[in-house]
Amino acid sequence: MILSERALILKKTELFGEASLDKLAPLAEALTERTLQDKETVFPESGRDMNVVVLARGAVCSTDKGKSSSLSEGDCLGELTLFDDTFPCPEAKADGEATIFVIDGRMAREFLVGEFPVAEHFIRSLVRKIGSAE
Amino acid sequence: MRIFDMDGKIKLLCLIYFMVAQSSMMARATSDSFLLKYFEAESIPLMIMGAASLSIVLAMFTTYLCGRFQAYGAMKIATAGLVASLSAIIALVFFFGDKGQTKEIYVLAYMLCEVIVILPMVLFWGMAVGVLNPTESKKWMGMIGAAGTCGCILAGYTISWVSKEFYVNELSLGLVALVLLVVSFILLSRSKTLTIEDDGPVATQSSSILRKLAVLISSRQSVLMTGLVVFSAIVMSLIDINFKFEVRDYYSEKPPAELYDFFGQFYTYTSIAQLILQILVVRAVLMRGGVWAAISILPALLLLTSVFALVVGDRNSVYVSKFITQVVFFTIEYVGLQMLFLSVTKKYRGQMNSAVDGLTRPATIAAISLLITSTLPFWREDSVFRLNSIVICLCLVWLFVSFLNYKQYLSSLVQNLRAGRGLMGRAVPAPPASINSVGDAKKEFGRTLSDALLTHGRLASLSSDDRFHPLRQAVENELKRNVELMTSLLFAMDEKVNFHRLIGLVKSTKASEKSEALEVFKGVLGPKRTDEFLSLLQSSQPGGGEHAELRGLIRSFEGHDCRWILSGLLLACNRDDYPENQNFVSKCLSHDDDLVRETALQVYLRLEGDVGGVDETCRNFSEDSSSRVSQLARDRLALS
Repeated sequence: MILSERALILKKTELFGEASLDKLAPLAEALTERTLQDKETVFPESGRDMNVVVLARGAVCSTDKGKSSSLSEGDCLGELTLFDDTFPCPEAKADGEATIFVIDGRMAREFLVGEFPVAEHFIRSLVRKIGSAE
Repeated sequence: MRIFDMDGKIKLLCLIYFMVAQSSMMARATSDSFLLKYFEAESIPLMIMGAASLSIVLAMFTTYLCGRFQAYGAMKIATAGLVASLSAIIALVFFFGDKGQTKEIYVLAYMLCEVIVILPMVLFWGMAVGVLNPTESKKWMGMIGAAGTCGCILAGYTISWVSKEFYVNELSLGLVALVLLVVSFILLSRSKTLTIEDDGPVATQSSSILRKLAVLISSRQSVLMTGLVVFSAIVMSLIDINFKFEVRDYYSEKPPAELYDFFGQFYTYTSIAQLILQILVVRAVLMRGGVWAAISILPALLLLTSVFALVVGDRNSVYVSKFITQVVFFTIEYVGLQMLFLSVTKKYRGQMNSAVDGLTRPATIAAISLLITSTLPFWREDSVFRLNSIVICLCLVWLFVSFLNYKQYLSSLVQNLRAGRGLMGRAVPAPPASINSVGDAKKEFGRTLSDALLTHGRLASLSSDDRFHPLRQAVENELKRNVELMTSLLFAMDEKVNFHRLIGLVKSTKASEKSEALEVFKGVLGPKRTDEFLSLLQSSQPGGGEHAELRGLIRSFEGHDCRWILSGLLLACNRDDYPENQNFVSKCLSHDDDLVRETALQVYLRLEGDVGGVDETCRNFSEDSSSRVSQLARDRLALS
């Protein structure tokens, strides 16, 4: 994917949606793009990963504590490891062919530290998720 | 203007004010007739002083009532009390009014009528500003005032009809009592609409009424508001008394009927002008000019009239000044003054209104009447020069006090909204390096606003088609960048306000907070720019306007320096419209920005059918300064 497409996909996500495209460009340039085959796992088998994953194309099925959910383009996985690196990653597999962006956790954390509105928005969205889960 | 597009609360306020103004005007006519029928000329100043003193005492009492029961509760108690007192007076007038020593009864009746002229009006406005927010006030205070003017006109006809009856005194007092009784019933039945919702606990202090009053009138805000009331009352009293001198001199050798005719015509014309102003002009002045325009129009007009009178040396200018005060004061100036109370915490609005307006105005009028009576010869000699010079000086101070009041109004709103810089959790955004002064910031703001409005218009015309999604994202991104730049310029334009919080409040669903935040914006930017700036904060959904074709969009964005918008336009190209947009893609291939070149090359590779041409182009780009562009070209060459 070219840089502008990557940045525009990141802009669509809830995590980075508040950031400007110019701010997202370095992140888009540094991320790793991976193409997953059907049933291929998103995170390593060890279940521990420090990275944030953004689903760029296709679909992914995620199972967390027995609950399964389907993720679509623009959804993120592994955001909680930004706060707690001991947090286990959910089990996630591609549903058909899918493209994911893997963003280095340290880089994503630094990005949030530098971008107050993005961090604020991110925390709000997490709080909403926790609220709805409860 | 959709006059009848008002909610129930506004209709209720219009109805109550219609009746309050009606009772006030009937009470005024009744008290005047008592004064002329039952008292000698030398007792008149004493009676006026006595009535003013009673009004002051009652204003202190109602200030206390407002503190305990809100303005609504105070008004309920006051109207019920006035109805009861009127009933007693009517009985006294009926049974003893014609029997010998009746002076005491008419003193009481006169005093009570004078209280009815002022007290319910002050309490009504205290109650109204408690339940209205600044936007509602600007929209509807003119209309509420117009309802009051209609009430006054009806009162004139009613009194004229009653004056022909045998029991004129009892009937006129009875009508005042009846109207106030209806007001009482309306107040009782509509308590939910007129009660201010609890903002939270208010610290209770076991201090005396006088101490509370002192605290209430000792803040900078109340001192400035008192100053405004004092200056307006002084100037208006001076003009009013000198107007009466002029009229009396002119008609001194003519039959009394002509004098009555003059007053009748004068007040009819002023009432018509008031009504026209209230229905057509007040709302426009308040919405476009805001509070500052409302409180400065009257002194500015009087200043101009007096300067003109001094230049021409015409003593008839006092008629013009009186006409202006009569028309503008009761329509625009008084509404502006009431709006200043909107920056006071809701619970204290009625109390402060009663303390500042209810107490200061009659006290000032009484003092000025006394002063003029004791310095009568001064006003009779060289009256044009003396009166107008004094009015000019007073109006200049009045304008200055109005300006200070407006500044304080904005500052109090900022404080109430907790939108000061002191509570800011984020760093103040730095404006561009080229901005060195407030003037620079204002100019740059204007320029950016024009650009942003143009971009906003283009965003609205974008199709909801999926292929335009990247372009939509890019345009929204550009718009957001513009808003951020303008926000940083706002911080440079006013060093006290936290505009981040203010922007958040403007988006709030709470009408009163939103409206108060808007007022602060209007104070910094002016009404027109505020509306334009805030329109940018509303999201623009596709499907509203006519959707432009890609060719048209490319033309409209031609020369735009935003690389993301150019990329968005490129990504919107499809096989069907590629031939007509080929030139645009070619131009972007030679763009200075790496991102635009990369996007253009990607689109070119996807859509160009000429294989030979593609290979040639890829060979040229394989050595591009951008590693991403050269890699894309090499990958393609490897495939072919």
